[in-house]
Amino acid sequence: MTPIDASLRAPSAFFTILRQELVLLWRERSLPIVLLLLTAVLAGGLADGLQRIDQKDAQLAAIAAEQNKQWDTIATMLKAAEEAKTPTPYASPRVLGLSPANRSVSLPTLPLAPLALGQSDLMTNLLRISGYSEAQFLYDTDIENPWRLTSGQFDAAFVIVFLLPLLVFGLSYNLLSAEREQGTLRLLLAQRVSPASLALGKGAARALALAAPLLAAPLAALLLFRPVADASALLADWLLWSTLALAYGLLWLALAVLVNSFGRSSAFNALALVGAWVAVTLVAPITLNLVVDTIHPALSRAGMIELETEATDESARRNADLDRVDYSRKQRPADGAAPPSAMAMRGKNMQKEISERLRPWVEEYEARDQTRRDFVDAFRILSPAAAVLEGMSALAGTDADRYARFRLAAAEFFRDKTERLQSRLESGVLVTEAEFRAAPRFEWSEDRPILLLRGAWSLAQILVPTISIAAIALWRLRRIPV
Amino acid sequence: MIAVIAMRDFRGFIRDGRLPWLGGLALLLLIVSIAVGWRLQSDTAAERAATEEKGYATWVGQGPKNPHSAAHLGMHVFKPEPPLALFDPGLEPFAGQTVWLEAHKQNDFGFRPAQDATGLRRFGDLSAAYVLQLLAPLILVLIGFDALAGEREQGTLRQLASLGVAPSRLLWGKALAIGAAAAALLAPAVVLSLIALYQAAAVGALADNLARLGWIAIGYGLYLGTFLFVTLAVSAAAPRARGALVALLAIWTVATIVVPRAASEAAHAALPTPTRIDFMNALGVDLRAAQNKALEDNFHVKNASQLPMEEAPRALRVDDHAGYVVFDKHYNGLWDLFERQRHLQEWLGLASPLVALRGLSTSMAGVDLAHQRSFATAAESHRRLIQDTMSDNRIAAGGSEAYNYQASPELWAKVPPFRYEGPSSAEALASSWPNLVTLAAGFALSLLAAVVAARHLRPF
Repeated sequence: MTPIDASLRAPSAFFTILRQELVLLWRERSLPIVLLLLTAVLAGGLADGLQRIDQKDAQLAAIAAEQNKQWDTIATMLKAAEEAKTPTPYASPRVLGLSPANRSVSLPTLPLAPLALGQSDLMTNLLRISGYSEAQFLYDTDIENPWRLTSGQFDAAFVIVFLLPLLVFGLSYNLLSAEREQGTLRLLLAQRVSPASLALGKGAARALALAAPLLAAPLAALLLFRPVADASALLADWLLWSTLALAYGLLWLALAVLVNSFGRSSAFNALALVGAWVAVTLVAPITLNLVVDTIHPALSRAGMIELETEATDESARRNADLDRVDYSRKQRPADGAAPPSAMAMRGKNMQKEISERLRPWVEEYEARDQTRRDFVDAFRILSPAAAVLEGMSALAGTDADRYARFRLAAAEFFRDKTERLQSRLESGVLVTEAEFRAAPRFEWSEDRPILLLRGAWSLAQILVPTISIAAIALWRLRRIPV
Repeated sequence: MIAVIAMRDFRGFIRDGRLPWLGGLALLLLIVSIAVGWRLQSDTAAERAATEEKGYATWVGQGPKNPHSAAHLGMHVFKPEPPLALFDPGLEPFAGQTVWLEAHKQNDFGFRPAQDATGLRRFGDLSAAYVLQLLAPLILVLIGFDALAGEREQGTLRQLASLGVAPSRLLWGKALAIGAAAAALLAPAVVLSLIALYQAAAVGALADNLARLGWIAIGYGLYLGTFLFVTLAVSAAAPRARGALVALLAIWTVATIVVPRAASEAAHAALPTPTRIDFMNALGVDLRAAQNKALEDNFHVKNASQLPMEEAPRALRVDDHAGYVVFDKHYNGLWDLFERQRHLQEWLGLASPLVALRGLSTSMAGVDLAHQRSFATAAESHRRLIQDTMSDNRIAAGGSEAYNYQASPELWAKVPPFRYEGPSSAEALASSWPNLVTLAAGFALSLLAAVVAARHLRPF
């Protein structure tokens, strides 16, 4: 008699179960229904994300075009004035400051932005530099109906974080319990199939079926409807993003196997899984939010306003003697210089003084914001839903961290501009075309390693519980009640 | 008989651990949310009041100054947080809470609290409304999914039928048991809300706030009642408890998670909000046109620089008044757009009672668009009062000094501190009664479905 090769039996059983399970799920219509639902909600999420990000891109492109046009217009006028040797008001040093040609700074969207809108509806990708201090423009927002912000987004990340687990439950809450309730579990195990192989085969069938739309739909949407500047970077980001989505789906599948391993009824399994889903996606994130607000509360905006009012009043008093108009003063520059008016000097002095007074507040706010984000990064492992949403947003470039880096860069640009302008304005020396063209303009520098690292950190936070739950489930399955 | 059935089921909920576990969690969340909301509200209210008061003191203490410069300092005013915001914060986290009343320019609300939050805020805010809107219906589903299907599976439904228990009595008995379980969870929250309301509401405003709380209670009662009877209808119609549970979880997911978001996105896709840049550009074009026309009509010049300097104060006043009309047109247009988006969202969201409930709850808690708009209008009126007081003084006393005129400090005190009183509960109800009707209709339909399903109840 030929001995049974145990090393071959398990994989063979696994693939047989996998194949049979796919056929059964398809015939009993639960698989096509779930796939249809998943594809429909994913398509809806992708359409919403694409529409929102396309609108944002169009706005950023229009602003960039308008600024470039104004930049060229000023440069052309300076050139014409230089050639004609006729002074022009545009040659005033003020043009090096925050002229309409460089008043806006923008944060470009990333290729994966339509997949996870993150904080992009709350934070703006466009800051219009204005006012006496960076505190007055750094926290600007776009116009949005608060109802929409309160309702939340319907993007692909929402579908994955909130709805995917429920679809996983729909297919797997009775993974083994249904077999037991129908009396077929005993028969199956009598075929020398181990409970682990049975659960793995059944689980793999569901994972493969759900993975297809999860992998294909986002990539197809990005390739079809978004410009691809760097295909390899896009593929790398998409791979990490998709791995996050799959790992998250596997986490819930592993939990379904674990719950089934207790040998309770299908109704109990459904209750337990929904309970876990409520705890992980609804209760844990808001509780964690509450904890971070209690331990590291955000700096008070009322305090900032109070400080700003005080600083403005004090600065106005200090510069009171400049608060006047010299009606006899000539408006056009002469002798290669444009000495500033008293009002212009008052404006510059106040900008410097108020900005310096508010800078510590801005720095403290940003430091506190960083502490709060670090706290969430460390503890979001308690809610895989929060970990996956944050990771997806990081890879899409829509997380709070990237917006904070954008604010820091904009603040630095503002300080640099205003400080250089201060001394130049006092001298009144006129600006040449070459000097104007060489003046620094804001350019965002992307830190890709940080994005990838944040995505990978989220993946690690998902994989740890996924592997642990899967291991416990397989261990428990050794003695599953039949 | 109804009471006997209800008592037996209620004991069963306690015995099988569903009520202690699920209810305990919900109760804990409710108590924590109200306690946290209470603390945050009192801290925030005190801080905002102090900042507004100091801002006004700075305004009054400006010393001799040009009124035009004074108007540029302006003042910041804060929307007072209504007492019931501790129950339902509504739009408060996502709508700015302060407006800078500045010369020449109507400003939008600034600083949305959600901006300062971490990404976790997108999962929702822990509030009593959140617990009652999302978790309470789920608890009803989990407690009641096997109310009738479970009896059928266990064979007890046949026994009850043979004892002559009418299906309607069974239905009411089950409804009473589940309702009592829900009431047991809600009662402490209602008591806490009343205490917090009593502490937070200003003297004289307590009656109005109690009326608001009453309407909120009716709204939530209808909402949870709808879920209760839908649960019983599905449980009566489903052949097995497992099928009833899966169907009810799908209904709950669609009604509370999918439809509100999908309706919101669809409404905004159909009626898009302009970007700030587009809005400001359109406003700027209209402002320039209106101000040029006003200059020409009043002074017969095309440019303010063509005027003698003595006319500058009057020209500025004419300029500002021309601006008021344009600001009204654009900002009212924006608020109207927001309202149209909300109405469309409510129509699209008829499939979910949650959309209607949110409309009613936020309106009665004083944290909806109408209350936000009312505050913005009051703030803008105050800004215009500041602007006109400064301009009138410059025109009357500035004389030939033009810009260089310095007003005496007494002028600043002529602008009173900003005081705001929001709409009454009757006004709030007048704008949100369609939501109440929707909730009542949903409740009636679910009741009808449960009664019909009970009439066709099969014992096996």
